Amino acid sequence: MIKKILTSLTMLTMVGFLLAGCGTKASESADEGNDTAAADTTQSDSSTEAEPGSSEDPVKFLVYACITGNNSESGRQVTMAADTAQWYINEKLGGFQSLDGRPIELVVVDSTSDAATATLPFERELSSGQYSVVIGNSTSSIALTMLPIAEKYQIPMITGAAANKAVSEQGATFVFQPAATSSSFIPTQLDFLEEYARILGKDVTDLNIGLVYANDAWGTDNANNTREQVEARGLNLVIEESYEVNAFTDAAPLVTKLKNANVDVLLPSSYPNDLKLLFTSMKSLQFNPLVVGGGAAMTWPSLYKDLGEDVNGITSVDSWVWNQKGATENEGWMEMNAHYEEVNGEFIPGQAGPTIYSIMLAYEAIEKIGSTDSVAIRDELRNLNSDNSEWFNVLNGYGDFDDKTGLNTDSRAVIMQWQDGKPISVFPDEFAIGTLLDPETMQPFNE
Amino acid sequence: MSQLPQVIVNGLLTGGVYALVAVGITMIHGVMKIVNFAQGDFLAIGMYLAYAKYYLFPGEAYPYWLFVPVGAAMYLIGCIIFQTSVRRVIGKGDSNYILLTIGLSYFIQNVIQLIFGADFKNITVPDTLRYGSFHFIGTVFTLPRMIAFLFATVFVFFLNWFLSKTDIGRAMRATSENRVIAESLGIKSHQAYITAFALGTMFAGIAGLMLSPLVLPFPKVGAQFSIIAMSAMVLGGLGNIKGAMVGALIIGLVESATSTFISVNLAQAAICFVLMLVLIFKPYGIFGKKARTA
Repeated sequence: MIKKILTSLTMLTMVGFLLAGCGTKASESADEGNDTAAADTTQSDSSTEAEPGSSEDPVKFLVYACITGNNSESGRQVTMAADTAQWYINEKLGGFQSLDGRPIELVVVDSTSDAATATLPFERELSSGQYSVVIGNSTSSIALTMLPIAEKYQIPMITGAAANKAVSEQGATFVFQPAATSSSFIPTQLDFLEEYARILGKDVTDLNIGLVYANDAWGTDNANNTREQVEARGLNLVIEESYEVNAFTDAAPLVTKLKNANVDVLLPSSYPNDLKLLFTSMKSLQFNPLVVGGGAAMTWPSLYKDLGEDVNGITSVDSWVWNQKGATENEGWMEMNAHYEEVNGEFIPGQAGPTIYSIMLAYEAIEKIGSTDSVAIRDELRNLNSDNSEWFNVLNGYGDFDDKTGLNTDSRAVIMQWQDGKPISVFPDEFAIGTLLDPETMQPFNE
Repeated sequence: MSQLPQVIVNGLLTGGVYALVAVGITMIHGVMKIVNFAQGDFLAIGMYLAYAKYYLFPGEAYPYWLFVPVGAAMYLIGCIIFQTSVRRVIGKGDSNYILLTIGLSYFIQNVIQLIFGADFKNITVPDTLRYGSFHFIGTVFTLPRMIAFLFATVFVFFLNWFLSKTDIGRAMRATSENRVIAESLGIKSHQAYITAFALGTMFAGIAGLMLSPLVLPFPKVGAQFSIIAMSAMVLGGLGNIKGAMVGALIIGLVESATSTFISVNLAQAAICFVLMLVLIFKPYGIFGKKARTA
């Protein structure tokens, strides 16, 4: 009898844990060791609380992010970005002034990292009719699945850091893709490689290039663009390898293959776990090519946590670096930057930056029209460009949303280098404020 | 072909890691005749127990001194899980344990996510371990995988000794052969089952500890190892500990050779192809035997 009672109690406890686990708070995925004093950003039915002092109905944005699964690091950054943007808009800007000070409420919902099932929660949320704008998803493969639903409910969708150009090539009329895409990443990456080779006293056409990429929408897009550009520039791509994300448990065979192909320059487009395996194996097998990453985890705080001081000197392209020129020249942005660092203990990384400026672009559009009508917001977003928008200039380039596709037609990528545990923008001079250092000495090159 | 020695070494070392998980799942199947679909998640628990130490006491340290506490904790967790759920499905039909262990897998993943969050964690180990390697005849042996390989080898010898030379081990073997007769001879089958399950859980947890310097812990980290462990178990022969080790090494070699000479993307397909080939010619695995019929 006692055994049965104990067993029943244990089963009830297990069911309780299971149900609690299904409603995991998004804020628990924030970096450990940091007290995130920002408002709890919770999933689904619960929403980030409006800042105190306002009794108006908040204007709600849906922030759709990969809180769980393989891309959970992206979701962590997006959640912290949403907290920061909400703080800035409500506390510093006093909410929507054109709407009598109504506050913003950013509702973060988990898409998981599986594109096959990401549409279900999204449709459920949009069917509630409470959102004016959707921010995300920063993962291109998931953003692609969201397009028909956003179109159906006529809610403008600003895709944050999603970098596959296919997102804005599906004929959707409510999508906006502000971040630089792979078609901008790769030319910048290879321009930088030419410059880097010149500084090192080498001819870039003599270098053996190796390409390693995750077999998903972003990785394959990077790879396709790399192949085209390498061929067009007459460079030497000696090896390319794709892999399933988080599917390989040992990078030693891959590194052995790269080593035997005499790769001089490695261009990886990878996520956190795969990068850790790759870099660890490279060091163990004493393989030290020049690395110019393709973005994503190459620029995230997780790389510094994994590699420690060994991260210094590594370079990568990305659509966003926390200290790119446009960001440092925007006072409001730097206020958010300081707040983000204070609350989260890290710089604004590659998924968070585009999320914040996506939110601010939507905020700006609503402020200009004084309405939360989603179609009117969409139309106003189309009018925003680097000449009339405060927040457009945070991005690199001279951007303008294409009226038909929603693509930011002149978004530019930037090269960063890890220096003292932080990514610093170093190329091109037009958008970067830092100096490229010699990775051997971490001092400026003697040219 | 100059890279062949390195390919073989990479394969064997990777196979050693897989063997750590495969041995545990084989132990459970060998005695209890059930496949534990949550074995990879027990590996994840072991990894997170190691992470918990680094979270509570930050600083670089070698994780291996946690061998005893993690092993003991995992043994206890295995006993609890067996007593509360698994024992009720043993001998109750072919599908009950499948549903139970798959459900257990989801439960563990969600509990881990609830407690630790969904993002990747990191365990800071000294660089001498993280990047450690030594050279032998022009071939590089990476230190963390060498250690995992050695542990796996020790486990296999230990288990073989345990099953053949100890009373409880012989009882476990007798129970796996025929529970009714074993019980009629005074063997406590319940004790045999709980020991087998707890040992299998413990090995999975220790495998997680061994992997903690190499792989970032996240809630679903065990899934990829579960599949490989099951493949190794089938390849080597169900219920055969040595077979599980050999199966794991074969899988490691196939993965390494395919990744290096063909494509990383085709490694999983190659493993499945080899498994298929072996089963065509040896349906019960390399060392497996057809069950005795009355």
